[in-house]
Amino acid sequence: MLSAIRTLAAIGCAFAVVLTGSSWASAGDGGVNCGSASCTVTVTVPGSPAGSILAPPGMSTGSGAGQADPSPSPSGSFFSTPCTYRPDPEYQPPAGADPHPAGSGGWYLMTCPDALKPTGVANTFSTVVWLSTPPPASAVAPSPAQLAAQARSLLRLTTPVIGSSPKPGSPDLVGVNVWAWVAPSAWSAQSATASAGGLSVTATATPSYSTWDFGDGTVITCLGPGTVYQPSDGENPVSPTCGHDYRQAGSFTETVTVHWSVTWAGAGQSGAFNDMTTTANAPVTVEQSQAVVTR
Amino acid sequence: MIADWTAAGLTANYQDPALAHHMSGSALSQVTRHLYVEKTEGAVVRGTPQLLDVTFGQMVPASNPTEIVINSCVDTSSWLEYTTDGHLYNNVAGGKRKTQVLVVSQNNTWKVDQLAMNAVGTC
Repeated sequence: MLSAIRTLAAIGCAFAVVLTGSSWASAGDGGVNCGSASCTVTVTVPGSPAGSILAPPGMSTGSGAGQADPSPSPSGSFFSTPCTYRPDPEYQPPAGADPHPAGSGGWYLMTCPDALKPTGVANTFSTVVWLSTPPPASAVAPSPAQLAAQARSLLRLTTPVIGSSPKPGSPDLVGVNVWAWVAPSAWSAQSATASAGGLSVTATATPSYSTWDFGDGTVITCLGPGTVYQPSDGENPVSPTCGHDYRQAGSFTETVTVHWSVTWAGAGQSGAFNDMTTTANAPVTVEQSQAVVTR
Repeated sequence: MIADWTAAGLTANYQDPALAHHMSGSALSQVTRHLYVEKTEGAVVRGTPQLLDVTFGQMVPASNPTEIVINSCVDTSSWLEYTTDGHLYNNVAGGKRKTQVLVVSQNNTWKVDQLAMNAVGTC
């Protein structure tokens, strides 16, 4: 009896493979899967896996007499593009929950395209698979950290625009308080996203502080972009946030370096990179103020 | 089994030992994997599926069976993915899915050993 049922199952499995193809391809649907000797029915997700369309590729598990049922399934087709794989050493199923064949190999997060988009929303699904031999390099998807590095390389940070009072290019006078700032338009977070294999990671650079080298030996750190001088601030005030008072005449080059903190997030992970910096400089001419002699 | 799955889904706890209380084999593996993928994507699963139209299918052997196929229709309309801060993870609706399980008697305990859930609209 059992063998007869297995035969039926095997027959059904031929069907099941088709079902699996189409049901995988539909949003979050499972199907039936076959191994060499038996069939297994595969699970899926509740509701709405996004990008996580959870139709695991069934595992063939020995003695199952799983009845392969040609269940109604949306019309569909097999995948037209191959799946991608990402090594996933973090997957640690509880003992006995997800045994894998003995020997070498590793867990991979497999992401496959959907051939069907019944909802028009999902276009990939992911699951974990054990591969005893690594997939070809062309099918290996970057890890979130690798994607983050790509996203970081895509960042195009705004070059700081030096603002100052007196205006850049205008002669400064010894003893006059210089206000220094980075134009607010150049002081805002920038982000870039890299995607591959169904994963998407965004790197975000946020300006955190600026260092100013005024060229006369003075280097200061300002916690923000500095404060834009307004005429209403009065005569020769001291900048509340970022400024300098040249004590000698001469020609200098002032250099501002903006330090950006860079973080990334996506694919369920997050992290941080070392700071990035951008710089700009401007010539400064400082003149000795002339005493006005009145008689 | 559904209760264990839905409970583990609340935190996408793929290592929840309760999953093995009523599941084994590929069913347990696949639910474990499902929850792991949810976890990696920052999603959890909230709500409860509705089990409809439960019927018995094949029994092996026919008398005193140790393996039984159970057919059902699972409505996942209220069993959806959410972000961990409580928003719907996406706008993909659930629905009625033709579902089969194979329950196997192991040491006088019945466990769901294999599981298949088909597309929305299949029952």
